[in-house]
Amino acid sequence: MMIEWIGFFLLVIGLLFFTVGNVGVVRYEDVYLRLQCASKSLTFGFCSIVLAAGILSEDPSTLVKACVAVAFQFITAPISAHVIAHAAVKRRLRPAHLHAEEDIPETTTQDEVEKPKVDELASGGGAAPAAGG
Amino acid sequence: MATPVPSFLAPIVQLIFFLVFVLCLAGLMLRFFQGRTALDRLVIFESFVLGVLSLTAFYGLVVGTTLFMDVILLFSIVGFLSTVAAARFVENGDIFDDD
Repeated sequence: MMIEWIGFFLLVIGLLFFTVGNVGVVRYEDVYLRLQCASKSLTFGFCSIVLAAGILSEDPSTLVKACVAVAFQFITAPISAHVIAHAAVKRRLRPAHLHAEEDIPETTTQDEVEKPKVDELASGGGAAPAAGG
Repeated sequence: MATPVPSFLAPIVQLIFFLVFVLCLAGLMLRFFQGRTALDRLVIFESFVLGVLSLTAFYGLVVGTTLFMDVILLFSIVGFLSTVAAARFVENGDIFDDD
């Protein structure tokens, strides 16, 4: 009886988070805003529903499989969100609420940042820094 | 193997749960077809995979079998790999870059 109450609670919480995350994914107008919902709310809803299914089945092996699925989802959701956001920044997609005169920076990833040359740093002690940037 | 269906899952509760799932997935599908960029569609694809996985778990609970948990494990792996591969393909036109 107690197990059924726990399962019902987890199921309702999971469905609530799932619905809220889906509304966010559908109604936001930007990749970066959509990633919020897709990687946090939907993951939590999925984990709650799968844990409810594992608990309510009253089978230890099924519960272990549900825990493995939840752990896998907790590991892989940030990775896929990071890959998608990295691709979006590298393609220079604009956030929706950025002002018109602003622009996302030229050098966005770490390997594209122009490193200062060593001899310039060593020789030009008091000289003016190179123009541009 | 068969497990007992929990007693709170009356048919009207099942109907409400399935209706919520179907409405969410239909909204995602509509947004998928009018998404702006490829990465929007990729995010929507990822959330669609999560929705189908949740629906699979709930359906296994309703039917009273535990076979769907293996399906959930395998399909989550496939969804993750396809998301990463498609994102890398969108990013630099190649999945395995050698730099």
